[in-house]
Amino acid sequence: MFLKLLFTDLPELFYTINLTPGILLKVIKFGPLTLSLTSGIFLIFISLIFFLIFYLKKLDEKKCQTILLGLIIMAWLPLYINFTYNNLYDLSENFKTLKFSDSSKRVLRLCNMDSRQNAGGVYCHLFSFFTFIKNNLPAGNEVQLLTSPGLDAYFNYYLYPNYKIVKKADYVLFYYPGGYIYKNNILYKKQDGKDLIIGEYKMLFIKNNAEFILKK
Amino acid sequence: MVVLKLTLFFLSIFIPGWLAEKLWLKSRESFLCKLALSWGIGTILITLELFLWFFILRFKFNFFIFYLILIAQITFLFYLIIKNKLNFKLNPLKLSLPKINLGQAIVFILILIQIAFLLLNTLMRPPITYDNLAMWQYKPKVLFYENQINFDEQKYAYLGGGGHINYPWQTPLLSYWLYANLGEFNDLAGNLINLVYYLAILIIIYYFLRNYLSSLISLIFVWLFSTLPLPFYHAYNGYADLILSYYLLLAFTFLFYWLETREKKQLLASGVFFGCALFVKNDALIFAIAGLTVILIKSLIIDKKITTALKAGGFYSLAIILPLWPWLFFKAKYHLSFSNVGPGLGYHAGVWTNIYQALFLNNSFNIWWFAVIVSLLANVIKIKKQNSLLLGWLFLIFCFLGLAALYLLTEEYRFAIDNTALSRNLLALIPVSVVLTAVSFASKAGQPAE
Repeated sequence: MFLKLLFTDLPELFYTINLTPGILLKVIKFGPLTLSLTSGIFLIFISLIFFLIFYLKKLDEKKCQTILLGLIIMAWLPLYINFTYNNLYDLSENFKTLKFSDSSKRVLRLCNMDSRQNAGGVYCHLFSFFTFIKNNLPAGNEVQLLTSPGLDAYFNYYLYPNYKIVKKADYVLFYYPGGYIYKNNILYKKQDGKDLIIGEYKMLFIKNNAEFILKK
Repeated sequence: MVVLKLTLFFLSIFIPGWLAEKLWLKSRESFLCKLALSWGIGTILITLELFLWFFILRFKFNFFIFYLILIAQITFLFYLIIKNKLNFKLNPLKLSLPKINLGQAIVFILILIQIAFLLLNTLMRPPITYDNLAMWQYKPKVLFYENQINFDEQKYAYLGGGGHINYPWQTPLLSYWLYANLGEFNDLAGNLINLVYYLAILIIIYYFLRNYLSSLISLIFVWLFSTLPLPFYHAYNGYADLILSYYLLLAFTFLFYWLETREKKQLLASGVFFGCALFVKNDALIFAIAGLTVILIKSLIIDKKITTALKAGGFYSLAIILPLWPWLFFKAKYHLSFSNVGPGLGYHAGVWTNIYQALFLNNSFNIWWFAVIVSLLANVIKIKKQNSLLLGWLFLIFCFLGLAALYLLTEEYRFAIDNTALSRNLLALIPVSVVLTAVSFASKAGQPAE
């Protein structure tokens, strides 16, 4: 089991930037203790025993510290091996994209993270929707965005400078917004179990029933 | 052509940085260490000048006029160096590895392998993470296309746009400077900035540790840092946290030197680098206060001199303001706060779980903070005997306590609960923890082990 853990690929996810990459998706436990706690307590325990032996026997301090450092490096090895294994994985992934254009690399990276985290493709489809917008809506227009909060930054970033996203605009970009419904030319917002009417909008361009552009 | 433009970008940072380092710090370190310092000083100089240009003078950007000013600045720095009779003779390159032994060679190669992995990720993985797009790359993108800062409160790009207009500008302006040199918005190239900061951190850790430890042990600690997954990931993902950790490391090393030597120059450098850190992220305020606390403890409790405490504390505070005054002035004028949330105090006990998880990740092999604890416990007697080491550890502990207080007691707690900020805050402390852990293994701080 330990070897299997060492050689597990841990690809990047959306939260990798906030937490230590190399975190296993599944909680690994040894009895009541988790993996890192087991390793950490083991390291502290062994180190303290060594330290006590050397201190009580009044052995050379330098020797003691060399052994402690050795222990830390030994305890470090599982992380290093696992991390190197992951880096080799990334290396092969990188080599595959060596000749890709920057935009293809971007799409691939986002789609990989999307599928690994089971996000349902909402991130992966972003770039095709951006292309759809650019192909249909003249640049320079102000647009209103209806999407889930985790996606707004992508719209702001990638649509700039061609489109300016504002709070209210004649054009509405509809992209998987939780809590909004469009039917019979009316845009509704779900609130407290009721459908509140936002306004009357005309379907301007449609990519699919969750990705389209409306006009007031 | 892109290579030439990139070269121009790096030269525009390294040359003034190098000259300023020569005039100000006059470090006797090796070429590589000077280069790592020059990068940090040069990027601050450029971004401060851009800040003055855009935010204080409210000018529209003109590439050629800005370069003329830069050339004038470089000429002036050259003049000062010649006037002060500082020669340009470099120390013999310590990099010329003639007496490297097998152990050193192996560790060095392992570090190079890490850097090679990183380089490929840097070149192959365009920015895609949320905050990078929402904040750190969005602002330079808007600035690149608008060529000026928008001061109209009604406009979407007011004060640069992006999620938080109260965030400092060092990181977005540095990216902007890169794109201005390239003549195009290329955020994949923007990855290079963090890569250079990362390399600079590795170099500074090594040369700082070489003062106290053998070359092999110093390299081992550099290798340990290079194999830490979170800093490694940040090295090609454009967030400001790694840049913050670079300035915090510099600020700490000079504070440590001051604790050992009591030279005013070291305290000035420490304060200035804390100021630089505050121009990178608001979180640095906690670390700067921790630095001030250590200075006051040293003067009041150890030296028992109130006048020294006042002088050192005041001098340090002024040094912090030195690189920061344009940003502080701007913050005051536009009522921009340090915090992202409203006022309000309350105890949020649930945050302890997140602090615990951020330090001792349950599903990981990462035992870094355990190793830090082992080093602290194993060397506690030595640490108690050596003031500089003791105060160094106190600095790290105060930084932790400051962060813990921030998340336990203020409305910032929500960023700990959702795991979006706490680990990144701790990332800023990792290089400092590496040098402290390592120096605690030295036979005596201030004396090389070999």
